[in-house]
Amino acid sequence: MDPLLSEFDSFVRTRTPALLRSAYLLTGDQHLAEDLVQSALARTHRSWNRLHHSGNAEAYTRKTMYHLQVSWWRRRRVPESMTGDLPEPRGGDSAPDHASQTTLRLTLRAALAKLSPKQRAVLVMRFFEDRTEVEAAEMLGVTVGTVKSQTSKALAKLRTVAPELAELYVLEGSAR
Amino acid sequence: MNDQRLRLDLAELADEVTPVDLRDRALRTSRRIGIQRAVATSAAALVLLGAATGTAFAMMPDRRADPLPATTTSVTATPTPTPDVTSPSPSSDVKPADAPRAPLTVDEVRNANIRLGTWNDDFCPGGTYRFKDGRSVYLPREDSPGEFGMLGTPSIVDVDRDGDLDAVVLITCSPFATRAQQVVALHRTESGAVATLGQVTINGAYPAGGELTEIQTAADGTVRVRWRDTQPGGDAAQWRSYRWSGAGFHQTDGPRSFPKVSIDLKVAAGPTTLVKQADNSYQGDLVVTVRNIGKVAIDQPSIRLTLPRSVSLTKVRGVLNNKASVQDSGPPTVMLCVLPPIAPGKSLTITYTLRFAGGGQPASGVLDVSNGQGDNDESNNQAKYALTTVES
Repeated sequence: MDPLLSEFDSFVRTRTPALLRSAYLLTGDQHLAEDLVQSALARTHRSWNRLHHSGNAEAYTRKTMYHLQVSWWRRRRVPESMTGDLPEPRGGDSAPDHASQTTLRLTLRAALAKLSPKQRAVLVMRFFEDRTEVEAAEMLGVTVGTVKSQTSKALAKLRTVAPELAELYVLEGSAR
Repeated sequence: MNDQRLRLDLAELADEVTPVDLRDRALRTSRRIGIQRAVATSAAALVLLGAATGTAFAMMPDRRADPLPATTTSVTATPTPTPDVTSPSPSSDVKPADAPRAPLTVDEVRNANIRLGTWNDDFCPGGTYRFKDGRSVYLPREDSPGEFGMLGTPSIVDVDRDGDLDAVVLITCSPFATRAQQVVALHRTESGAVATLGQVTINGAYPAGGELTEIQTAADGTVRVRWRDTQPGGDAAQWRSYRWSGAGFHQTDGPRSFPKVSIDLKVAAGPTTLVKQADNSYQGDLVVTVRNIGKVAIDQPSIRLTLPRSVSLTKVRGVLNNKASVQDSGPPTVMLCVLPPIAPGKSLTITYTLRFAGGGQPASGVLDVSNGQGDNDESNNQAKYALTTVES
């Protein structure tokens, strides 16, 4: 097999699971996530000659993924498939059991769908991928100030559309 | 909001996705993109033919056109004749080769067909683009960035020293935070059309290559381009000068690259003793030093603490907000802390209070420090720490 193709295969097989996780949070849908990662990987493949030397293939793929997600959304201008009614707020049980944890997940999923793609992207980068504001800004092609404001707006919107999440995510002020 | 809880919930939500092998699908999509681009190239050839016969077509990119030749009179021998383009009529205004040609105007340049050389192939491919009011009429790809146009006002100057006024223009295409830019010189051809004379200079769309932010021209034809350092931590600017040599543009003055910015964090941890407590657990402080041994300030460093089995973190001091969050619930558990900025040559001390509730001796753990910008020497970004239990 062509060594370059072999390298690309290895890259795809090792990194696809992680890319899919981010893509799922960005799109909220298994098929959309697969489409997004597939499209980003295709562009990575077209630039593989250059990227395989640089060691930045994953960064490039992720950048492309975020860029495509925002541009797809711009073209579609329709809500993503994961929108829907928010589940009923759960009870005050502070130690969630399996059922309430599932409810919570559905609530978060629906609440994420109410955010703009850029807001969702900054949340995923900052709180799921643990990227710094500088890294998130570079990825999205915006300023650090925009990342800060989008993060703030995203968190505020989560509180508005899902008050029960706000209760959970209230600042505790403790070390942990 | 409680960042830690949000992190956990996002991670749990991400678990819903089913891993699939996308290798074959990605390759198929890649081939399809290749075919689409080839079709676009063929369309561009037809468009150019149409333009040559005076048909009003907008120009499409021709990615096989790069690298940009020094002179490209054949490419845009005829301007696209639209009402808003102020170029003279191509057929009725031909002048003798040695007669002075009308100087280019800013309006003409802002509404010209401009041939751009090798660029970012994925989002801003080389090709011939039609500009209207300084913006590209068509985006090169359906997913190309919206920001594709001229920066600043075109500069009118006799750049090739042939006695006629040409133009120099800075064009940007911005797929990511770092913009893909190039400076292009335009001139008037014998037929009276506006055509690309040559590419003065170009950057890439990737970080650390530098951005082009401004152009200046001199009466002697020198084009000065202001480059901004885009390396992480770099903020320097340089003016680099270019001149037309008769066959192309060459740099004649100024630095050719930015000095490498030194970004280097170093982490070290001392041995830690855990003392037996009344509840039979062991507790003690792990003291960690993070030093900035690079040349630039690190604005948002972070540190990850990987905990051995049966060891938990009960308190942390010396980090931003004295707060840690779970990055990975494990095993092993990984705790993430954001650190305050560290100036060059300075260090900070972090104290983790750890609790061991297992039997025997705890295993060693690992610390990783990150500056979020890329480190020149990653070998000192990690440190192991050893834990020893004592009865009193």
